[in-house]
Amino acid sequence: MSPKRGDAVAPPAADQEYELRFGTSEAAAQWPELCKRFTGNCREAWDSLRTSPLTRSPKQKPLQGRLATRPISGVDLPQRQFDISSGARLIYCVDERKQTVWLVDASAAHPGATVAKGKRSSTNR
Amino acid sequence: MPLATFIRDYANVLDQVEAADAEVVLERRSGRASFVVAPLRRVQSDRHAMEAVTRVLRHALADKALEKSLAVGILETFPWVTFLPAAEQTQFESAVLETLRGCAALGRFTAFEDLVDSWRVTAEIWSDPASARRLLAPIVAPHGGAVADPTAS
Repeated sequence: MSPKRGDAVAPPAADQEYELRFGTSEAAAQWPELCKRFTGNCREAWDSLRTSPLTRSPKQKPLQGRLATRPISGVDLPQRQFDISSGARLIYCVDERKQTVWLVDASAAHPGATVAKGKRSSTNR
Repeated sequence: MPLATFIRDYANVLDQVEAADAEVVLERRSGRASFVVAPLRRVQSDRHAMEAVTRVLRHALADKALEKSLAVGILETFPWVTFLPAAEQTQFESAVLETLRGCAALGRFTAFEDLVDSWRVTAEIWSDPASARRLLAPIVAPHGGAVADPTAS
């Protein structure tokens, strides 16, 4: 779980703040690109996820159904979405016990953008 | 309309809002809450209508025989539900009816809006099944690297 060589170093989390860490290598690869395109919004997300990852707001919301939780290291954690822009989002899981937020996806264009353009995938029925 | 624009020209904006019997949204920066300015009469009539609809809804939701037609209405209102797996469509309908009952009893529907919004983003993910499968997969060994401040470099 420790940072890998070459990872950017984040300042230590203050008391009561959550540590924000990559849960997947995909998210680690996507994050810098997303930050380049949406620096201000990513900074806002970075702050929010460190201080109040479980807040319910127009930008932060829990996923529902089977996507509502995801096992990380054997523990089911709540999975949530943070909207970066109308076409970009973060997906993250919150470990309250360890005060850690796992960033698991950082997509520049989420499926909703595809839906809005009418390029629908088949349903999952 | 940005809040600053309203402050600069509020008398003119209020006249226009009154003449059109409309409402204007005052937006603030940095994701802070926006506000609505509307004529009091319009807000009061909306509130009275909402109270009446809420009373009717409360009775309708208490009638088990109406549940099926309400479920059909829900699917028509939120067509994106079709992206959800079948079992989760049922889960969504139950959650919506249950939350509507609670909201109708209180006369406040913020919880309903929150519930629908979180199911909507879930349905967006399911609209790309590969993306949904990826987000369901257990993470056995997390990457673990610290997420850097976007403005640090």
